[in-house]
Amino acid sequence: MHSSKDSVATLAGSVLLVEDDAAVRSSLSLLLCLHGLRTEEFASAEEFLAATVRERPACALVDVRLPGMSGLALQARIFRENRGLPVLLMTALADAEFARTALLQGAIDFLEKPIDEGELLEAVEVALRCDQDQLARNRERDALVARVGSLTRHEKDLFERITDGRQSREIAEEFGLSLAALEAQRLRMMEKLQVRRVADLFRLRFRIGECVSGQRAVF
Amino acid sequence: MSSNSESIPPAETLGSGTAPSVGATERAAPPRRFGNARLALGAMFWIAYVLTDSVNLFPHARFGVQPWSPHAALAVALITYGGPAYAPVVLLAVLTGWTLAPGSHLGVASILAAIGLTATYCGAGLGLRRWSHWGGAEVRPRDVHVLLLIALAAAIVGAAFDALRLIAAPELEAAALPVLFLRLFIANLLGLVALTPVLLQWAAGCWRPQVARVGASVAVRDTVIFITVVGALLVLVFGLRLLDEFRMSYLLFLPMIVVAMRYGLLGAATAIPLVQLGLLGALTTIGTRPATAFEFQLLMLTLAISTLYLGALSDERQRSSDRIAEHERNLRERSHALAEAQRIASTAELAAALAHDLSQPLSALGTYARASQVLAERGEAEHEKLVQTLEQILQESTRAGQYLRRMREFFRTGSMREERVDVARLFDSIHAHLRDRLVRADIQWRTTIEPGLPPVCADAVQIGAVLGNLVANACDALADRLTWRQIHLKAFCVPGSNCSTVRILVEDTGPGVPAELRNRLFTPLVTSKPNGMGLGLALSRSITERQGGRLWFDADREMTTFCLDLRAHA
Repeated sequence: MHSSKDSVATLAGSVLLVEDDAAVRSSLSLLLCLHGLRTEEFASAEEFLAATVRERPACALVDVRLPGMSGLALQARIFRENRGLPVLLMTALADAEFARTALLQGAIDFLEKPIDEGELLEAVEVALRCDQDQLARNRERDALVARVGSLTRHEKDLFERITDGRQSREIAEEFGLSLAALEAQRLRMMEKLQVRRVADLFRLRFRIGECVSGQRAVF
Repeated sequence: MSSNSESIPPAETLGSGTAPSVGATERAAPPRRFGNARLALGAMFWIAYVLTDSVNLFPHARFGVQPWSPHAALAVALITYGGPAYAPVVLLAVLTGWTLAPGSHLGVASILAAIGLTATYCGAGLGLRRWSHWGGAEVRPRDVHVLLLIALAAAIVGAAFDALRLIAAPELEAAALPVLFLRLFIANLLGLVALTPVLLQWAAGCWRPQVARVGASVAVRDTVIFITVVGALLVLVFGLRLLDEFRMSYLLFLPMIVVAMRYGLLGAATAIPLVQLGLLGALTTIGTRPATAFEFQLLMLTLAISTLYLGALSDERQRSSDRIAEHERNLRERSHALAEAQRIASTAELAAALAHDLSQPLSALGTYARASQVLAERGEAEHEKLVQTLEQILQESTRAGQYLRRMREFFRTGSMREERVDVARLFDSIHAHLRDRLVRADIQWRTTIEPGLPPVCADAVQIGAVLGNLVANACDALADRLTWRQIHLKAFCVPGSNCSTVRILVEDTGPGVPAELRNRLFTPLVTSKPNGMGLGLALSRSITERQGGRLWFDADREMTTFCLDLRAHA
């Protein structure tokens, strides 16, 4: 129990509690607050979905049995809507089928009631770290997308052809440019993208492709 | 009685007919591919056929035609039982019988007639094999129809061939031919109807289940009683001659009915030849005119057919009632297994529900306790918060205790209290209990109580749980509703009950109960809620009924309505 306490002290973020039993909810809130975490309380899935503005990093701690929309349904919805919010589930009756569904739906972990403090803090830590990593990734991707977005239409075409692996002569021929003029345009484009080497262009293309897969609007 | 000695058949006829034929049997044995058992059966048949054909009970009968011809039945039964392979034995037996008949001479016509007669027997036997169940254990009334039809056909054709043989006889006048044919036909028919069933029934081993059913000693006792009764009746009817000989013959139907009802077709089939033998005995004793013999034959035929049908129907009834009993036994076993499975399932579900409900306060308790530890470690600064948390721990342990107490009361049969429960107060306590949920879901709460409504007589905790469960269900139903959300509780005296029964309605504006669920609403484990256990309504109903009330769903109303009837407090 106490082993994880020190590491938690460094942890910051908010835990979104979705639990219909007021006593369970407020006791968890109190304990998490004592460990320096911010908490928000929701008595049902609907109440949770209605709230919008949230601080990050954050994670949701959701009871499976809720009035109205169930915890598993809420988790599925969070995952489907790609809010990127890590979800922890709690239940009084964990069985294999439940665990399978929860993990398939992308739950970080699930906790069995009565909840052990050590397990709770550990799971919350993992979830918050996960969210933090994701936030960092998102920020990086946003920056990359912004940089690519600053290119002109022509430069975007050029970027695409180079990273498709086409020869300079081929590209120059297609655009009706001399090799020297093409080289000059390439250098300006690389400057805009803040990369030094052609290899970096490929890496950039790969990362954008990875992050915004299916969203070819960049080009 | 005086005519007795005259009508007894001469013993020498019997002896002379049989003695040489025994030796002949061995020589004229059926083809070698027959097994020993078949050989023995063929030999037995041959002896029996020749004996019955040549026994001349009525030497005065015209052309030697007897009142009944058992040999035809023997042949048909043999073919039915053993198949067409026995046809040569039948032919041989026919020829032997005719050769031994007094005053007969075997010519070409006779041999052709014998072949025709054999073919007739074979046809009848194969017909019975093909279209009826006479060779087997389950003979139905339909098989009796088949037997009668085939016997009719075989008797006609057989009589024709028999007549063909006798045409050659010198003493026959052409004018007597129709009478001769008629007599042969009746005799054949009587023999077939009376004897074929008993032979086939015994050959099929039908006696084993019958004897097993009643016991061997009982079967023997009944046989003795039957023979005694029939004998007494025959003496009464024909011996004493209180009336004209046929006037009282209907009395013979009585023992036949009893036997057919008690022993089924086997009993009927066995009784028929016994009675026939008795009647023949009576006939030989009193001596008859040909016209009387004809009346005798008709009596025997009617008796045989009625008894056969009665026996077959009795068997059929026995089989049906056996089947029904078997079916009922299966059904009972299955419903017992089902109830057991249901009980185990509900116990498991109940345990799960209990575990879940208890885990809530326990979970809160543990978390509060851990928080208190942390607060205590931080010392003076957090003192006030620590006191608050400890207060919450106290509250939670009280909640868990209350829950356990409620559960104990819930399941302790027979220990429920009967108290005055004020309906308005009951409604208020439910409202207080569920206020949070009502406010959160923005549900309008309405109660209507008839002025002057008497209090109800019930266990306040249990009826509160039932009503609370109904209202909680209504809250769940309204949770997804975007439009008007209202729960309306109504209480009034049931009209016409002189206010001895109070009815409480729980109405909500939710989507209602799905039609396919309505009939099973109160069955354990049936639910429309994704997380529901499906026990609430089933338990609620059993609780209500234990308190002398009723709980049902009223499908005819516009709003979703559950009705709860409770006894008014006197």
